[in-house]
Amino acid sequence: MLRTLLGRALARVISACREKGVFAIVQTVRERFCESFPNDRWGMVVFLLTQDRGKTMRNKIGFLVLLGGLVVAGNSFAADPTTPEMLANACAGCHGTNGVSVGPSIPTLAGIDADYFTSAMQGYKKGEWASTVMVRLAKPYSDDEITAMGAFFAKQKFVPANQKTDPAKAKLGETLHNQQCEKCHENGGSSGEGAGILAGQWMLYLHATLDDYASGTRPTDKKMKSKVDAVVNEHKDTGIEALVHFYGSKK
Amino acid sequence: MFTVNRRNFLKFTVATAAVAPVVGMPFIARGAAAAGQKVVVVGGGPGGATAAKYLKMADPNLDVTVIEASEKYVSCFLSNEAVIGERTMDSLTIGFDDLKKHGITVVIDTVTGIDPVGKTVATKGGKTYAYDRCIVSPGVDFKWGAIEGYDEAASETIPHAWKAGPQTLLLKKQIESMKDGGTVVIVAPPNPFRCPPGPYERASLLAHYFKTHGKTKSKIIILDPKDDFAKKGLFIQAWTRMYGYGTPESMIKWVPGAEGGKVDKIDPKALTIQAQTEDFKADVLNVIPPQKAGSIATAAGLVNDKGWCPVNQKTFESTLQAGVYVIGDACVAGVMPKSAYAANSQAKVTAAAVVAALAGKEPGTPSYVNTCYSIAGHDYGFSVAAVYRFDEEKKEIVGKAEVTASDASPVMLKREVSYAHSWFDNIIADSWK
Repeated sequence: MLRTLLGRALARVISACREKGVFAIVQTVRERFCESFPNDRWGMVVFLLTQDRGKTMRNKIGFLVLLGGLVVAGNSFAADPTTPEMLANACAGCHGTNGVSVGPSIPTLAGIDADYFTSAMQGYKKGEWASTVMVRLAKPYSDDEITAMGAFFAKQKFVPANQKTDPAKAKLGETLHNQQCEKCHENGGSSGEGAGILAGQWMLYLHATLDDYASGTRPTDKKMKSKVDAVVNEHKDTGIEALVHFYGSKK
Repeated sequence: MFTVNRRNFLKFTVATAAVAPVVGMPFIARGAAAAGQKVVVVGGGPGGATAAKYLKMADPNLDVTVIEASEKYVSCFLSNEAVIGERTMDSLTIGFDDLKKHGITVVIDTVTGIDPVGKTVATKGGKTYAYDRCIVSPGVDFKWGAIEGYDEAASETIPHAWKAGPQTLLLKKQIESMKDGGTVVIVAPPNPFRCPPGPYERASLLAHYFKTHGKTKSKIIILDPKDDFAKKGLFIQAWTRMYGYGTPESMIKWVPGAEGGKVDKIDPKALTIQAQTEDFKADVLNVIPPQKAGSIATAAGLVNDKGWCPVNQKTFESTLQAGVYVIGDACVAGVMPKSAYAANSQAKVTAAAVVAALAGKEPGTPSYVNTCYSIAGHDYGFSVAAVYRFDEEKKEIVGKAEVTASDASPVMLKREVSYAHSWFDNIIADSWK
């Protein structure tokens, strides 16, 4: 009796495997659970076991196949995806622990908008953004890894840079900011959808970046370019310097 | 009573299918390491300090002790700037107080032995430290006597300046007091060695120093056993642009192995150097000797026949002694160079691997980075950078290092100097603060 039941169940599993393809299912499971169980396949199995899966027979069988697939696939798994911490910690040698930079020409990444991080990394990766080392360091990362790193840095606490600013320059900068930048770089440059944090960012970095926007070596949308051009046409480097001091003065 | 119907039969099957292999496998516990598990880190350089800090960041319950021989660490990276007086020794000197704020115990003592069976570390001070895992980051030591006439005693008058501190100052003093028209001879080491572009950066900065200090008739000769070196194209380009390289007036002369650059013997009193095809006379002689893993690695049985430490490059656990991990300049890390950044990056990989091992988990997939800047003159810097991965088939760290483009603009070369300095600020903070 038991043997018949077992045989019948096994036949169902096998046919379900044929229908869905074990490895496609295993892949789904991995994608879904690898965040919770980055390096722990058996933890994943235990986790799955404790879940009350779907009520229908079809779901039950699907679940069984998932588990079976996990077990069967066992050590034939390719390397587990690298954790966001592992990827991001490797950046800290230049960008500071958890992305809080203490070096004036290297930007703080902590608290960064994840979409902006992705567009920056993709810009470097494709060689579209002017850079020295970043073109070489962005290239080896996959799109998924870039997304993971962006999410990691977005979660870290931004710490404003400790730097000296000139109050007169900062005052002109504030005026220019309100005229040209506030609409997108909201709250004095401390927020903004898809934008980097400007308020409290390192001034040397901001200056180099604004130079790149002005010269066109860092491409941007027409609107941003026209705003930077407006500042530069009217005030030359004094305008850029003023903006930099304004952002640098924000704590 | 348990009746088998289709529904609970499936439950039963699921349980069996999943549990059987779990039981068959070594049991793998979940969660953090048990409180109070001990990690002893030997060496407080960029590798050791970073490992200790990232261990604590990953699991504050760990009991982490760093044992370091010196009260303060003096950075070898950027010390070429100190040689020419463009950086203070103070800026290179780092204490361990900030590291202690992470809850790390720092012991100033010299490790004399590691017992991988009893899992203890012994020190010159007569103490024994028990560990569950031990991380060794001993840096390099020199193969004294590999060049006849150059031993530790000779280094008191002829600096290597390849470990920063009094040696850096000795070279600085000799450079400063050298008369115009004098010759500095740098004896470069064979591969592998700490800081591969370092000897050539040193030559560049010496030329920069002479050029800007009215000693334009002075020369720097690099005697090299190798025919190639790190960032060679970029150095030669910089020397050509700034120091007349390729002309009879060149301030720098590089003699590769193929042209007899290998040095067999020096006379430390006469400051004469016997290279393979020619003899040289120096006013200032800087010998960077052939290198090997720091001596504690040898004492602990961690080195191979070449003097370096073979490790599982995914975790940095020694392939010779279980439970002992070797990182930084001393280990064999595939194509990663021996640099502070590499040590810092390897330390994070090994910290994660140690935390996993103590929790009974498999190590995760590592990712490593190295970025290394060289400063060749005023507002003139360049770099090599790479992301490295562990190749599961080759069981080796792989990656493609790329250098600054040869057509980089002056603006970018200037920025690289600025990045070098900011990198320094960040690597110091990321490792020790």
